[in-house]
Amino acid sequence: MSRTNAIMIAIVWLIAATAITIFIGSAGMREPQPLMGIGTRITEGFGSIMQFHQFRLLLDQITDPFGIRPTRGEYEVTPDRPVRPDQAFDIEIRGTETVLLDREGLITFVKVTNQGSTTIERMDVELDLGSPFSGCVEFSGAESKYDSDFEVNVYSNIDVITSIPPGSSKELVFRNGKIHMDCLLAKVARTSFDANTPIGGVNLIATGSTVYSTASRLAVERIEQEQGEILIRNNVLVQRPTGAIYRSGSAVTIDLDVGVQPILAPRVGDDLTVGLIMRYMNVGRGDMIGEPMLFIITPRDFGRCQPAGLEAQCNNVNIFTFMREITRTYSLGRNVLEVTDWMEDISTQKRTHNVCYVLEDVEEFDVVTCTVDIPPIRTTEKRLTDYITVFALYGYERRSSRLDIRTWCTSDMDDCV
Amino acid sequence: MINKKILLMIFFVSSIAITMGCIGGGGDFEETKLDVEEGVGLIDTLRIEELRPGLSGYVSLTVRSNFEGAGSSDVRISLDNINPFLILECGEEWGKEALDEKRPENCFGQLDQDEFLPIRTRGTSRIFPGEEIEVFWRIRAPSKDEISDIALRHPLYYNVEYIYSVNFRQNIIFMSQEEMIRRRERGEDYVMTGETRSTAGEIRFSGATRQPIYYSFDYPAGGPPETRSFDFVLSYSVENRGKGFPISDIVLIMTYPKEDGVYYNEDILRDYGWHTGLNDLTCHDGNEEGVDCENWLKEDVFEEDEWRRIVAGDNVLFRVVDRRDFIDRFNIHTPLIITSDRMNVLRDRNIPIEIHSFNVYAAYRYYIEGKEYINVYPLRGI
Repeated sequence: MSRTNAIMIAIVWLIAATAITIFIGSAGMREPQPLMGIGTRITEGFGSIMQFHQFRLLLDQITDPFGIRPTRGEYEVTPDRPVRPDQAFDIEIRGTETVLLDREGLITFVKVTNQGSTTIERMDVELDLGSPFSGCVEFSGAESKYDSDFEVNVYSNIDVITSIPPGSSKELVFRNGKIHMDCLLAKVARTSFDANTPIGGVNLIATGSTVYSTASRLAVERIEQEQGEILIRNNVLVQRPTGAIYRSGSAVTIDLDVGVQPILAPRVGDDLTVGLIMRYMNVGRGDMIGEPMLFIITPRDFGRCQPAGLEAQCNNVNIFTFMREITRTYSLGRNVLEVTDWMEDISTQKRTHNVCYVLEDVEEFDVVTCTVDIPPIRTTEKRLTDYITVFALYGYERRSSRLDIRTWCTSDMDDCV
Repeated sequence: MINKKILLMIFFVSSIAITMGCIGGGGDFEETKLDVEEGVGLIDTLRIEELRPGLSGYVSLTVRSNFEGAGSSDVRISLDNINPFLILECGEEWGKEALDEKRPENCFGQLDQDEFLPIRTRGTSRIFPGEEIEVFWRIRAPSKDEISDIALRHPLYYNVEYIYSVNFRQNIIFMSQEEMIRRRERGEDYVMTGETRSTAGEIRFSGATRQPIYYSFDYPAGGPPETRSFDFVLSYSVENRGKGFPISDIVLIMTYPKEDGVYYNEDILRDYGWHTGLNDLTCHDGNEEGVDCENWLKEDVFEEDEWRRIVAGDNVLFRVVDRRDFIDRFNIHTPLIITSDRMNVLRDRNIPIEIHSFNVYAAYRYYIEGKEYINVYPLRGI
């Protein structure tokens, strides 16, 4: 190696090393802070949801022409499951796709995945043919793989899955499925089918139904009035509408709003009376069964939130007795029982919160209003945040995709020519 | 040949090592510096990014008094918007109703003033320029029930309050009209600006006086010598460039040069909002209204020696800007007169250029607010 070559290589090495080092150094500087990372995830996570909500907003405008509606909230962000914040559960179907009419030959697997954040204690799963052949299939061998105290097989097409923890799946097997030819004929008003010719439009659908719970929490932030005025004058503070945080893994979201925040609150004097607006929406891919049971939980010093124009029962132990009955009826299990215990605890024993149960049915998109009395900030703190929670129990059902069944009859059967 | 190769290898490796050492490591250990607009600045916060329900962790704040500043006094560092978290201190849990309670007698705080302050506040009587203090609290996250089993992203606010003063010194150039004409005719530069110097602080001054100030030996034409005093006005722009805002009234102090003949015109002083003394002035010191301004400045704002130096002589003016009238940026004007005697001296000695130094001080209590988010994640799973 000549001396000139060696020097040249040395210079190239130096330049390359410098460039790499600068790149590494600058990359390190650009590395986002941990909190920034979470912020990014929020944006990314909710981007898709917000896109989905665009359609919902149009629907809102139709159902609420006067535009009185609470600010949309956001799903909580947690490092844990579930992966789909806006769905309670998923249901999939698979199995044999070929069977002769009037012969027991269908074996179908139904898999239920709990995408929510609370354990599903019981889910009824029903198998049926899709329209127009509904009611034409029968599974004589429907039996749960899981031990259960529940009464099942009232109809052989219904089975029960119990105790599905968040993020996990369980599967049911329906055996000896038979499609009744006379039922199919009646549905299509025919007297016979052609032998050895597949009948079109026969498909199996699984429907899972359960009672689910959800909650939304609204932060009510107050700022000491004089401090707030100074901050506003100095362009440091801008009051904004604030939405609620929904519990993830629920197909139903509850929006809550008390107007722009932070609320300017005095140090002394009377409470401020503020309107609380709320409404719920089904953002999942299934359907709600009936109306949900709604509980409004406010801090004790906010007073009771009585829904205006609706009846509500507040801070009465009967609420919780009633709740327990419902819990037993629907076999809701420990999650809801824990909530019941918690609500009883905070309202009757610790007396830190008011719990009001909305007695009347509230339909989806209905805007419910009530008032809360927000007290002055009596400490030297300049800001103070309290939380209002609405807890809901709702029945929910979701259908699987269709499993196409290839079925036909043979000439040795009646009504098959 | 082998030796040469080894030497070359050693050269390459050492080059890379030196380069990595000089450039790569620099970013990680860069010292946090305060800007000139910060009297006291927050240089670090220890953030708890994540807590599980019911668990506790530490939050800390580190503040530094700017080395290029005057030092700060009556410093208070507080946590705010603590609910639904609890502060764990003195072996007790301090919730939203108890945060203002006095600290138990046998439980000393971190700083010299803590014993007189609520549990959420740390305080010290003075931080010297360049000095750094770190304060911390242990906090407990709310329980699963308190957050309704929904992840909580709570803004934990902190605020820093302190008394501070800023000094702006400006040399104002005075030039005779004759000198200006001479320079213009010769093509020499006749626009000059005097040097300025400012200590670090949030309230920033900038000189808005057009320089040089021209005076004429013949003005006013034909008048008697004793009426030859020359009136000017000095202008300053005052701007809050800090990260917070003043919560007290701002006391402005103007000191004129000690040379004879450069003074203020008492007749128009009040019109410009200035006072020759503090006797009849009351202030809002950031805590209460109507305190004696002079006492506040003497006891809380300035060191004794500094105060004595500032108010020495009779060439000092005072002005109180109400905190409620304070806007981010405003201008102040101070009347200035060159007495007839001084004008006679300038003329007789044919002095073409004079430079005088003026000092402006701003004294105030400043407030900075910030926040960090703490996430409380509920436990999910089986």
